[in-house]
Amino acid sequence: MEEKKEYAGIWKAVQKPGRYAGGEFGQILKDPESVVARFAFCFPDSYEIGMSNLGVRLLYGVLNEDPKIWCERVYAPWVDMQEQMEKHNLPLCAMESGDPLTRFDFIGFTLQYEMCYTNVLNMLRLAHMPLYAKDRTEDMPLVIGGGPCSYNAEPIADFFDLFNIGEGEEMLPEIVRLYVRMKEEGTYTRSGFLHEAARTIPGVYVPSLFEVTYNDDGTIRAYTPVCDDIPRQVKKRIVADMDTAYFPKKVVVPYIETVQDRIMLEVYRGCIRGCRFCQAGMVYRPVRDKSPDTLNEQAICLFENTGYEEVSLTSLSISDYPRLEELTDKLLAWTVPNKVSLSLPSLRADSFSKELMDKVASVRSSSLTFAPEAGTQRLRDVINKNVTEEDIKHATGIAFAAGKDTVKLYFMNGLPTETYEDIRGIAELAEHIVDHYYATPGHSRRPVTVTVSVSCFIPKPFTPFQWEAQDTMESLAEKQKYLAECITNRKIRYQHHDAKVSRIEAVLARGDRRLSRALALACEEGFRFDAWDEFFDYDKWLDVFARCGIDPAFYANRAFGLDEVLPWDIIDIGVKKEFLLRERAKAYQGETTPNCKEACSGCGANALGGKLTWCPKYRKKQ
Amino acid sequence: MVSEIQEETVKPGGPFLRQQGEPLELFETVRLRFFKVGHLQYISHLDLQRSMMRILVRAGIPVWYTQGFNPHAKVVFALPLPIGVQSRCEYMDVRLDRKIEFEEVKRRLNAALTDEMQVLEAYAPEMKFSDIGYAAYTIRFTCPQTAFPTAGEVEACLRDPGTRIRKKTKSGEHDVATADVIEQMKIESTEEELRLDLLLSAGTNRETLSPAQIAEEIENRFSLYKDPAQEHLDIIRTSVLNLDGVPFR
Repeated sequence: MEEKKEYAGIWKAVQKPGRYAGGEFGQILKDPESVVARFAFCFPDSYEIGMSNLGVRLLYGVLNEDPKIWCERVYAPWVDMQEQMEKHNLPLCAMESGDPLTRFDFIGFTLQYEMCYTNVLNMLRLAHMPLYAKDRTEDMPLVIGGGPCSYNAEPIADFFDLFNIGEGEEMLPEIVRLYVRMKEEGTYTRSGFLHEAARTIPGVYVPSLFEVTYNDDGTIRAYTPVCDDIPRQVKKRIVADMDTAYFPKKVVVPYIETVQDRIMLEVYRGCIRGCRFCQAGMVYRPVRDKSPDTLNEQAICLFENTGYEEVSLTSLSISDYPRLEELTDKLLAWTVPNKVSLSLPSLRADSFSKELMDKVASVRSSSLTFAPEAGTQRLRDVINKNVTEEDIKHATGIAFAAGKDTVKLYFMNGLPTETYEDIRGIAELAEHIVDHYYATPGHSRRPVTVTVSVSCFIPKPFTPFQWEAQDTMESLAEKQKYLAECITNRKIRYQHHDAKVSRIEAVLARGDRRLSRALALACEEGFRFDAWDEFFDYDKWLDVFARCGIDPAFYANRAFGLDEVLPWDIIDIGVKKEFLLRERAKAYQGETTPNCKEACSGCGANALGGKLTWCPKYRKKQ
Repeated sequence: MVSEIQEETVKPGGPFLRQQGEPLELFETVRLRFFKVGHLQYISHLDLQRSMMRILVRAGIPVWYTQGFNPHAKVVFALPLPIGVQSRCEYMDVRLDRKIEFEEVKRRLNAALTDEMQVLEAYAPEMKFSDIGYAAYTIRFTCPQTAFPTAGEVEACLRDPGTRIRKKTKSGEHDVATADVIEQMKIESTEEELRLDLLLSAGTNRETLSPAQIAEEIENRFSLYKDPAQEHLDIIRTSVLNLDGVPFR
């Protein structure tokens, strides 16, 4: 029995020291002398959020498979911990070894949402690292990034040495192994490694190897590679076959409660739907799934290795999975007798059935949420949501008949072409669902609650709406007020997002490299945890932009020219710009596009390859 | 002798997945004594309780579930352990629903735990948790920059009825005199360390103080040096006794 004698005394001075202590079952410890590359995998948010991320679990596992690599975890210290660290001048350390980040070979950030950028910089600062890549010297760790925001990481490009574009489970080990090889051969130099990675590993984007020039009007003139032996555009990487892709059999099981404290089963990647505002629906194409047998085996394996009491089927729209019934039958055969509950988030109204509902309810009641996104059929057609009021009534009717008395509906304000009629439509739709509850035979005796949750549209890169101007704050505020007036029924609860956060998010989402000055200043000013309402301060953001001579409206509220060079044109996600333009034109015509299971609309993503079992063209070829 | 029933019900080392409609065979309670040290001293009692279910499940322990609408396992802990205190004598009772050798329970659990928390003993309970009366702790201050007070000074401080510590409970706050909860004490003060071996009252419906609170009082009273980045304080629960002073079983 070992009694631990050394510990950081500050853990006793902070709330929830379990966030920093580590020592969980499943964490991987190695002898630092036995490895060539040490990788600090940073999640720029709290432990509770970071531990919930499926991608981190995957990449932590796959990197540690290699005996020459040791990957450890780092989370953003909560504000009380940060205060203690600064007070005592203690640097940011990794959880497993407790070693400061400066001792690592790589500092890798997963970029899940734009509002985490200030945490990224704050963590670098707390690690005592220079923020700008150009200021870091030969013996300092390489700072690399990946995840959804890396599809347009230009606002933080100056702080990073390298980005992974696309799925990381094959690419990331390739990058670190190249480093290991060069270290072992004695050929490693910082610039040599970055150049070699960009030249030889598909999906690697080294921002410093591209020069950006601007037009007089502030738009981008061109991206020019500084050497001619690297690809002029970085093509996204995908994993071809999900059934044989790396899967972590063991995961770190936290002691303290985290947000997604359960088995997360990734059923498939991508989405067939093609909603025109949705970035995930475009950047994760093409759709590739796992077979029910693979998924069932993986779930059992994780259950035995973790003891989790819940399995969640996570994918962008789980009810689109063609073999969902077969999968749930296989899972329920062992989850029920083992008291494991099954949860299915992300259900779509048009593919919701009584059978599905019964299965979810068979272990535990779960709340029902649908996302019509818009209040009228006209606007739902514009955004290609392909859900009708009838679908929503049908789905909620099943739930009401089964005794549910609450339903949550998600909407968006500020969508392109939106009118006040569409906004009134949200209230009317909610009203119809209330009526539908009382018209459904067998509904509960309790009064119904329909929650209407409304967010603000943010134009995102690589969507058909990437060129759109975001609604102004004044317009969004008026719309929110109008909707509140339209909702008169007390059985309808109304919530809406803060338009201020959405505006900053829009700036960062469509930003270019000139924003790095503002982010560096924000870091200097002590910004952190901007994804948390209690720390977000809109006026301070405006002040930072003003001091850097940046007009946020240029990025958020300007309609980008259709022929303009976009900051993210440097990246090729497989989906072609022509397709996005086609979809945009159809949106303005109010025309919908069939989903990828019904017909191929030729977005271009199939050229990336992969086992495309859902694709009608691919099926024909087989 | 390993019984044949055990072979049928829970295979040693193999995965344990319950089948639909399996009958419940028996109810038997196993008492587990385990240690919890190192990083795990920062895991709260509540978090440990919550995690224990997962630990038992991944260890493949055939835990008995209550038969109500919301089935849950019957797991009871003896004394909560404050954050920042290590222990080599944590007790937990688990009710089982089929035959399994206690040694096998211990072996399986240890494979499902890290080396900072391991089961030391698994046996049939001999006493009730409500019989618990005392817990022994060793508190060590080891910060080298500190000139430690003498053993006599520390003892006088702890024996002084005026040395009172504010305690927060569900029913409000009140002050507790250290003298009232310390049953025995042995104090050693050397150049390297200040060491307190305390036997404190423990258990339900008894006036208690956390050893971490007592340590803090000593730190403050004698202005001991604190280095936030380093070891300076080490507290461990070393044994648990019943009301008659007999080691708890």
